[in-house]
Amino acid sequence: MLKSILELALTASTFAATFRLACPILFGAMGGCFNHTSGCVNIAYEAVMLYSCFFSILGSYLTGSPWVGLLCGIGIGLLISVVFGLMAFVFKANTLIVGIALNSSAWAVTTLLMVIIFNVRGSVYNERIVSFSPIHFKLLEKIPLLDSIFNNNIILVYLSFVMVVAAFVVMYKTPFGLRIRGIGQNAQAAYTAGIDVEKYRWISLLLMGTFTAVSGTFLTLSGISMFSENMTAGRGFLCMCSIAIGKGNPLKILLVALLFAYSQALVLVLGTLSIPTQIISMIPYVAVILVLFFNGLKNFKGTADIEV
Amino acid sequence: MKNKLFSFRVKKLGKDLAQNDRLIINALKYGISIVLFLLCGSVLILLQGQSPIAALEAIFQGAFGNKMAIGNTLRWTAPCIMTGAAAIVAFKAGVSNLGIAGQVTIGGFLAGLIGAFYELPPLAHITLIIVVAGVAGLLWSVVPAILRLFFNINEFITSLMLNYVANFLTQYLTQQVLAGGLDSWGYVNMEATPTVLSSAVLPDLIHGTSATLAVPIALIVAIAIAFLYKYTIQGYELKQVGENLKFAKVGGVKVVKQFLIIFLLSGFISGMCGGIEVIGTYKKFNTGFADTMGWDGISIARIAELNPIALIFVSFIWAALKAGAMQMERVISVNRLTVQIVQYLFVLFVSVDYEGIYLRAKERRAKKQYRKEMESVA
Amino acid sequence: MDKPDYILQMKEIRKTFGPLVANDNISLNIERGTVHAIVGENGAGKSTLMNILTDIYKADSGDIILNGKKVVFKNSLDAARHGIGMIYQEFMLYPELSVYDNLILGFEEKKLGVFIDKKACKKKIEQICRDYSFDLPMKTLVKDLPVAILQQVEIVKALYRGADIIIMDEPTSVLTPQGIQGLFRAMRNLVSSGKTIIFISHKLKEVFEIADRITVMKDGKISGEVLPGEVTENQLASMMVGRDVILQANKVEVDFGEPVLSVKNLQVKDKDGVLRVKGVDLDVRRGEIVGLAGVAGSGQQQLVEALFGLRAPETGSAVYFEDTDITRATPRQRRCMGIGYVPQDRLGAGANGQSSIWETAIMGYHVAHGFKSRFLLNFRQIEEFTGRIVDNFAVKCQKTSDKIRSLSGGNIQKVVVGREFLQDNKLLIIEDPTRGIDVGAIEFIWKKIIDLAAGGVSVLLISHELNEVMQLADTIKVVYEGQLYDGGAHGELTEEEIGLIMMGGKSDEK
Repeated sequence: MLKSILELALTASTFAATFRLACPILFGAMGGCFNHTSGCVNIAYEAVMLYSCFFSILGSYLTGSPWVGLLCGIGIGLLISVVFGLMAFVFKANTLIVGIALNSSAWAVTTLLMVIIFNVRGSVYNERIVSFSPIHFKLLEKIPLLDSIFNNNIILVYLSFVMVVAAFVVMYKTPFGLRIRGIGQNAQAAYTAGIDVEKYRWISLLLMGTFTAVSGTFLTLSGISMFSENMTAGRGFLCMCSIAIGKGNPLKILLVALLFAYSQALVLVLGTLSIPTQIISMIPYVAVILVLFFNGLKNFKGTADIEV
Repeated sequence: MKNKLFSFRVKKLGKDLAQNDRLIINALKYGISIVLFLLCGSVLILLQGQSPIAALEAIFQGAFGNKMAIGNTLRWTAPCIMTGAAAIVAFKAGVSNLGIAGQVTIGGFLAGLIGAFYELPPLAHITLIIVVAGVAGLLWSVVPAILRLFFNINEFITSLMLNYVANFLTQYLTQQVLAGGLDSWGYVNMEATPTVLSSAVLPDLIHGTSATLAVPIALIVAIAIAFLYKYTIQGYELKQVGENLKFAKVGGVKVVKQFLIIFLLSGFISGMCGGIEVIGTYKKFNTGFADTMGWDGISIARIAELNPIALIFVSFIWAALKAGAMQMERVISVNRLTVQIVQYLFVLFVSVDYEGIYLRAKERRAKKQYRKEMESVA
Repeated sequence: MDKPDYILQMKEIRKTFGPLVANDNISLNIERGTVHAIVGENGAGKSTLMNILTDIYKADSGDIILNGKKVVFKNSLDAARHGIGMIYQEFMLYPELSVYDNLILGFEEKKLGVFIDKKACKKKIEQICRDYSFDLPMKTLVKDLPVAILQQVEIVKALYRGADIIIMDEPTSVLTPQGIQGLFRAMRNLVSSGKTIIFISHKLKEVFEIADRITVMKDGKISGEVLPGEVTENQLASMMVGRDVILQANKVEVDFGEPVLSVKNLQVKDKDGVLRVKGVDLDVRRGEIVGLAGVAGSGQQQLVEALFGLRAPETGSAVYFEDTDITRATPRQRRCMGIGYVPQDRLGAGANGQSSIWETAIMGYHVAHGFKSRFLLNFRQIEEFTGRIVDNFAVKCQKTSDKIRSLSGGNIQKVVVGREFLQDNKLLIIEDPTRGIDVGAIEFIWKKIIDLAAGGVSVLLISHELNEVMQLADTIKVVYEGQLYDGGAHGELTEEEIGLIMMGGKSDEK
C-alpha cells in the first residue's frame, strides 16, 4: 500500500498534473501579490474566481470561443474588484467584511444565474461550451519525461509560468513594484513622496481581479467545459494563502503554489487507490497549515507569547 | 491659556459626536442601507418578472403569517445568534476566527453521534450533547490558538483552512465509517448520520412548529456575553486586549490567557451551535450543513456592530428573511437565492464608513461657511 | 536699498481642523540661502503650516508665492518638483527597503520607459554624497540603521529630489549634542551652497546657534519675528508661551534608604535576537530618582521592557526588588508587588485610545488592588479612583465615561501618570513622561515626580530629553550601546560632558 502510494506520488503523471494544476493558483497569486504587498486585506479571491468560472462558461456558450469566455471572465473579475475597491477605498468599509459579503453572494448569484439562464441546478454541461484546446510541441516529443509532464497543455498553463517571471520583474525591477512595496510598508511616506497611493492601490486591486479571473476561466475551460455550484471550493483561498506564505515575493509564491498543486495532484492520482477520497481531498488544506507551521517553527520560544 | 482653549474645543467636538451626530450617522447608515436593500431586491425580483410588493408580502407571510411561520423564523434565529455571538467574542478581541463553520461542523457531528448511539435519560442526554458539542468546537479552535500563541502564526488562514478539513473529515466519517458496511444504494442517506434517539431531541418551544428550546439557549448565550463585557473584570480585560494589546500587557493583563479564552469561548459557542442545530432542527448530522453559517455569523455580528444585544434583533430580521424566502419561492416563482443575494448586499451597504463620510462632509460645509463669511466681510 | 531676495512667501494661510484653528492667517517670508527658524510650543501650528507648504494638507485659504510667482500645488509630488523638501520628525522611510531604494522611491530614473535605471540613480546619489560630504551604506536595510544615519538618509533624499528649500521638523530631538553639531555642520554646508533651510524647533539654544532669522508662533498665530542677536533666550521663551517660563525643577533634599531595585548583569536581546542590553548593573535606593540618559536606540527600550517583565532577559541576569528575585516575574506580579510603569508611548501602551477615561484609568489598578468581588467590576470603586486622578492631577474632562481621545495630549498623559502615581507604588519606572506635552503640563508632572520621591518612592526615570534627566535625577546614568556609564550626581557634570558620554566618549574607562 505504502509502496504504491510512493510510486504513484513520483510518477510522471503526478508531475504533469502538478504542472497543470499550478496554473489557477499561479494566476491568482501573481495577480494578487501586488494587492497583498500594497497592504490590502483581500479575501475576495473566491468571489472573483467563482464569478469568472460562470461568465467564462457563459461567454464560451454564447460564442463558441474560449477566448471570448476568457474575456467575459476577466470582465466580471474587473467588475468585482471595482466593487471591492469602491467599498474599500472610496467608502472605507472593512475589507474583511466586504470580502465575506462578496464571497458569500457569489455562490448565490452564480447559482441563480445558472438557474435562470441554463435552467438547471447543480451543474451546467453543454456541448456548445468550447474549452481551450491543448498545444502540442513537436520538439518536446523526443524527450520522453519532459514530453509527458510539460506537453499538451492549454495555453493558459504556459502563460501562468510566464506570469511568474513577469510578476517578479515588475515587483523588483520597475518603479511600479518599488512603489507598491513602499506603500505597503509606509503609506504615509509614499504619500509624502508624491505618490498617488490610491491610484497604485487601485491598479494592484485591478490586477488581482484580472488574473484571479483567469484562474476561474482555467477551472471551467481547461477541458471539462463544465460549471457546477460553488465549484471553486476554496481554490481562491489557496491563492490567498500562497501569497501570504510567500510574503508577496513571486518566486517564493511559485514554490508554495507548486507545493499546493502537488498536493492537489496527489488527490487525483491517489484516487485510483482504495484510499477514501475525503481523506485525500484534505491534503491541500492540511498542507497549508503544515507549511505555515514549519514556517512558524523559528518563532517558537518554548513558551506561549504574543509579540506586541 | 492655549491649552485650555484647545481642550475645550476638542471636548466640544467629542460631545457633539456623542449625542447629535451619532444619531444622524446611525439613521443615515441604516436608512441608506435599507433603501438600497429594498431597491436592489425590487430590481432583482422585477428581473424575474414578478412584483416586488407581492414578493414582500410573501416574505412577510412566510416569516410571520401564522404559527408555523413564526416558528420557522425563530428556528433560524437561534443559529444566527449563536454564530453571531461566536464571531462577536472573537472579533471584539481582535481575533479573526474565520473557522466558525468548521467548529460548528465538528460540534454538530459529535452531537449526531452521541444522540444516535448513546442512551441516556432525556435531560441528561441533551445536556451531555450540548456540552460535548461545545467542547468539540472548543478543541477544534485549539489548533489555531496554539499556532498563534506558540508559533506566532496568524489565525486568519489556519482557522479558514480548518473549515475544509472539518468538512472532509466529517464527510469521511459519515460516509465511510458509519455507512461503511453498506453499499451506497443499500443505504438511504450517505450524507447523514442515523437519526438521533428521541431522548436526545431538543423539545419544541412552540408546539407543532420548528422552533425549539434552541431559541432560549441562544438568547441566554447572547445576554451572557453582553453581561460579560459590561459588568465583569474578565470582560473588561477581554475588551482591552482586543482594542489595545500592548496597553493590556503593560497593565498586567495575562494576555496569553485572555487570548486562549477568546479562542476557546468562540469555539465553544460555535460547537454548541452545531449541537443544538443537529438535535433541535435536523435530528441527525447532515454533512456540510454548516457551510455558510460561519460567514453568516460574521456578517450578522458586523451589522450589529459587535453588540450582543443588537445581535439578537439583527439575527431575528436575518432569520425572518430566510424563513420568508422559502414562502416567496413557493407562492410566486422567485428564486429564494434572490433573498440571500440582497442579504449580502445589505452587509455591503452597512459596512460603509458612514461616520467618516459624515464628518468629512460636515467639515467641508463648515469651511465653505467660513469662506463665505470672509468674502462677505471683504 | 536692495529688496530682500525672498525665495518663498506665504500669505494669509488659514487651516482649520473641525472647530480647531491650527493656522490663523499666517504670513511668512523666507530669504534665499538662510536658515530660517520657526519656534513655538507643541500644538502652536508649526507642523501644520509646513504640511500646507508641502501640500500634505490643503489650506482653507491663503497663497504661496515661490520665487516671486504664485503657485498652487496639485499634490506633494508637485510641491517636491517645485523644490520643496521636507524632513519629518517621524522619518518617512520604509523599514524593509534598502537605503538606496528609500532614496529613489517615487523619483526613479527610468530606462526603456518602464525599468528602473539603477546606474543612473546611483550616479546621481553618489554625486550628491560627494558634493555635500555624506557617506551612506547603500545596501543596508533602513531598519538596521541608527537614527543619526537615518537623518542623513532623509537629507540626501530631499537633495536627490532636487530640493532648494529643505524643511526640517524638530530634527535634533533624536540626536546627541555631538550629533546635533554634525547636523549643524551639514546645514551650514547646504546654506553656503545656496540651499534654504526652514528649521522648526522648540529648543531655543539650538535656534540661537544656527538660525539667521527666527519666527515665533503661538496658538496658530505669528507672535513675532526676530533676529537672533536682538533678543535673549528668556525673551524668546516668553514670546513662545506668553509668560516667563524657564523650566526649572525645584529639587528637594531626600535621604536615600536601602536599595529597592537592584539589577545585576542584566542582558536582554531584542525581538530579532540581537543583544541590546549588555550586562547592566544598577541600584535604585528608596526615595532616589535615578535618571537614565542616552541616545534613542541605545538599549533603553529593551532595558525597560526587561525591568517590567515585558521581555525575558538572558540567563545569568538577575533583578531584585526588595530582596525578592523578580527576574522572570510577569508584569502582573510586578504590579502586585508595587512597581508602577509609565510607558513612553502614550496612546500605544499607556492608554487605550478607543476606550473611555475610566477604562484607561483602572488598567493595572484592577490587577494590583482588585475589587471587592473577584469577578465583577465595582463601579463605585472605579468612579472613586478615577475621580482621585482627575482631582489630584487637574485632568480637564467632563465625565469619566468620555472617550480618552477627546482629551488633549497633556491631559491623557496626566491620566496615565496619575494612575501609576496614586497606587502607593514603591518603585516607579517612568519613560519620557513629558514627551510632546505643553510646558505647563511638564512643570506639573515634574513637580509630582519630585514630591513622590520626597515621599520615599524610588523612581527610575528614562528620558530622551537630557535636560529632563539633569533637572530631576539625583543620580545620572548614561546608556550607551547597551551598557551603563556613570553620569555623576545631580548637577555634577555639565550637559556637554554627559553628551560626550552619550556618544561613547568614555567607553574606554568604564
